[in-house]
This record gives sequence, C-alpha cells and structure tokens, in this order.
Amino acid sequence: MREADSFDEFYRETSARILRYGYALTGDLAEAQDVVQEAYTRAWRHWRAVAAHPAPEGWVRLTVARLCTDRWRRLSGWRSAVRRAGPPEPVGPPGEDAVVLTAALRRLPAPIRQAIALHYLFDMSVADIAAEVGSPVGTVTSRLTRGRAELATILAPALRTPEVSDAE
Amino acid sequence: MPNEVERAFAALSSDADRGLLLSGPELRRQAGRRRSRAAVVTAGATAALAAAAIGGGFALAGGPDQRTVLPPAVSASPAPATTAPPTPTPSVTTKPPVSSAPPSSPPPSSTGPAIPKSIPGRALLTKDDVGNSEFKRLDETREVPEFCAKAKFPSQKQVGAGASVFVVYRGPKTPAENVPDDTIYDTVTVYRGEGAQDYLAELRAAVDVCPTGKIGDLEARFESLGSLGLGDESLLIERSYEARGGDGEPTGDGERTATYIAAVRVNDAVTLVDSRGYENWGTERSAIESLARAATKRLQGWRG
Repeated sequence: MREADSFDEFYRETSARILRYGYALTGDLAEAQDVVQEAYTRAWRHWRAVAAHPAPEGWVRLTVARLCTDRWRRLSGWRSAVRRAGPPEPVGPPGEDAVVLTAALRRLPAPIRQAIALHYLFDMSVADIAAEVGSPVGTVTSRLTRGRAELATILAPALRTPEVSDAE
Repeated sequence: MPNEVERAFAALSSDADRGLLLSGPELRRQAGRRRSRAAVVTAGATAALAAAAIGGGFALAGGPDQRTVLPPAVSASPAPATTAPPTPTPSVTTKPPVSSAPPSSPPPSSTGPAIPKSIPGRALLTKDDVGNSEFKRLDETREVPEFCAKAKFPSQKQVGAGASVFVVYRGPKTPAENVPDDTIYDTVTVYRGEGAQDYLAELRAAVDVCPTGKIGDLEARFESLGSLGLGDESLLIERSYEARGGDGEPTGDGERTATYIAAVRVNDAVTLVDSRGYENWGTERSAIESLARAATKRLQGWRG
C-alpha cells in the first residue's frame, strides 16, 4: 500500500476518537480540532517512523497530550491568527452533559485527566496506560483513583442540579 | 457514581461529533504546503487563513465522509517529541523574603461565641473576591494540608464546624476565556476551646518537622515565610517542587516552583487558603497574599 493510502486509512479510522480525546483534554472542541489536526500533520511528516511504531495511534495520542498541555505556548501565535481570521466553529452548541464533564476535567491536573480520558475513551487497562505515558503502574492506579473520586465529587451535584451556587 | 462518569464520557464522545476535521488527502496536502512556509505567523499568513476560511468547507468528525478544507495550518510549533506525560507542577518561582516570627495573640475567650452548626458562604471567599474564576462550594470540608508522616494535628479533634470552597482561579488581569492561573481551596474551620490556636501552632510545627514531604508523585519542600500580619495570628508556608516545563519534564536547571498555604486565625476560627497551582504552573505569591487578605476580611466579617 502506498504511504499516502496507509496514512489516509489510519486517519479515517482513528481521527474521530482522537478528537474525543483532544476534547477531553482541552475542554474545548475548537481547540481540540486545532490540536488534533496538528498532531496528524506531524504524524504524516514522520509517517514512515510512525507507521513502523508498535502503536501509531498511541504516538498520535501522546502528541495530542503534549500539545494540549503546552498548547498556549506552542500554538498561541497560530491560534490567535486563526481566531482573528474567523474559521468555522464546531457545528451547534455543546451538549450540557459534555460541558459539565469538560469543566470537571479541567479541574484535574493534566496527568490525571490524561489517565482518566485514556481509561474511559479507549477502555485502556492500567498497565496499558502506564506503558503509554511512561509512568509506573502504581502511579497510574493512584491517578485513576484520585481522578474518579474528584470527578465523582464534581459530577454528582452538577448532574443533579445544572446550576451550582454558593450556599449561604 | 462510575456510571455517571461513563455516562458523561459517552455524552462527550457524542458531542465531539460536532467537530470539523480535514479529509486525509487535504491534511497531507496542507502539511506539504507548510514545509515551505515560514514558521511564524505573519500578517500575510493571517490574510491567507482568512481567505481559506471563507472558501473552505468542513466535514463533521463523526460523519461518514471527511472531505473538507481547514485553513492552512501555519504554526510556530516545534516538532513534537516523544512521550513524557505532563505533570502537575507549578512553574516559575521567585525566592520569597525571609519573614519574621509569627506574632502571638491571646487565645480566644472561653466565653466566645457558640459553635455554629454550619459555616455561611459569606465567611469564606466568595465570587466577588475572585473575579473571572470558577467558584464552587464543596460538599465536604477539606482535610488539613499534607506535609509528611511526622506532622500531627490533634487540634482536628476540636473541630466544631467547617466548610470549603474551590476556586479555579483567574487573576484580575486574566480574561475569562484564558486558561486559569491557579486552583485554590479556602477552608474555614471553627474550633472548640483553643483548637484554633493549636492548629496554627501545629502548622508551624509541621514545617519544622517536615522540611520535605511527598505530595502525590512530587517531592515537596516546605518553608515557613512567617506571619502575613493578618487576623489574630497568621502564617504563610511555601510548598515548592522541582520546576517542570510545559512538557512535564523537569527543567533540570535547579529552578523550583511554588504553591502556598496561608492560614489566618480570627478568634476561634481559622481560614486556610491553599493554592495548588494549575497544571505545571505555580502560584504568584502576591496572589495568595491578596486572597488571604480577602479571606481574612470575610472571616472577620462573620466571626471577628
């Protein structure tokens, strides 16, 4: 198969779920679009190496995670230009439950958010997450435990009552 | 509760289908174009983006066919590296000045106000104190900050009532659409007897017995910065970590980043402002001092 064809097939099969991942990490779908396109652009530039990688989708996930973490530094110049130019935003308003979750995820430290997103979006085991992010299994376990607990704290009341108020 | 998390992720996945992505061939074509472009965004590039945006079509990420056009992806970004995960540690830190010994003040009177059943919202930081920040009262009161195993807090047996708020903090100059500057917890606790005084003394002792401690994966170093000059007595503690870059890797240059714990006693109550940083960024000392002043004002308004 030609390189371009294999890349297109890989992109077609993986990009929608990678976008979900970017959305979970950034909390903003427009930002996620930028980051995901950037990650696949880099994958194409290095396609021979990426295609030979034992987990090409994992390579893209890592690139997305890194871009999300440092996105303001790395993409700010480009992003501000794009925003001024006024490209289309994602279609329609975000769903309420998605807004609640992305707001909750934003409150988690980046490594915890990453572990939680890998677990819930890709159904990855603790061992697989540990291998992908390069952390010990115990560390990932504690990140998942803490992330679930913090999400539970935030989501439970938020999903019951859409408006959170500071009680007097 | 796990089901709620699963349900929320299912909603997010479905919501992501609103996203717009290039087709594979278009992405490759634009990647090729970018090779020959300057790596910085110029006025000309901005104009080109505008033209492309007007003329371009997009495909839904969740749609069966992605056949569309994104404006040229001009980026100042360097090539991505390998695999380091991001780590939650603050960034730049300035060395705090040495501080004076905490002032002493008389213990709260044993005939002071009765222990309340709950802490009113006005006793804690409020939305008015934190500008563009996201603000939430927590269902449960936060426990004392972590130091190390040697730190003991018997004062917690004297707790009469407590409450915490959580702030995803943006400073006064940070626009609402920007990423937050910090995450902050403010906890107000009312103590029986001399519990409030004891708590401040125990915090000072914790720094003495725990020059370092493990907070999650991080090696923290604690340092007392002395009194803030607030309330009946107060204490500012610096909690610093080895600095990390935006990629989560230690910068390796010996630089440290800091978050802070500010504790202020007003009669039989303590307000404790605990900054935790946001992703790899730390806390500006001026921000924690300003928040500690605001928190003290709130507590004095209720319990002073």
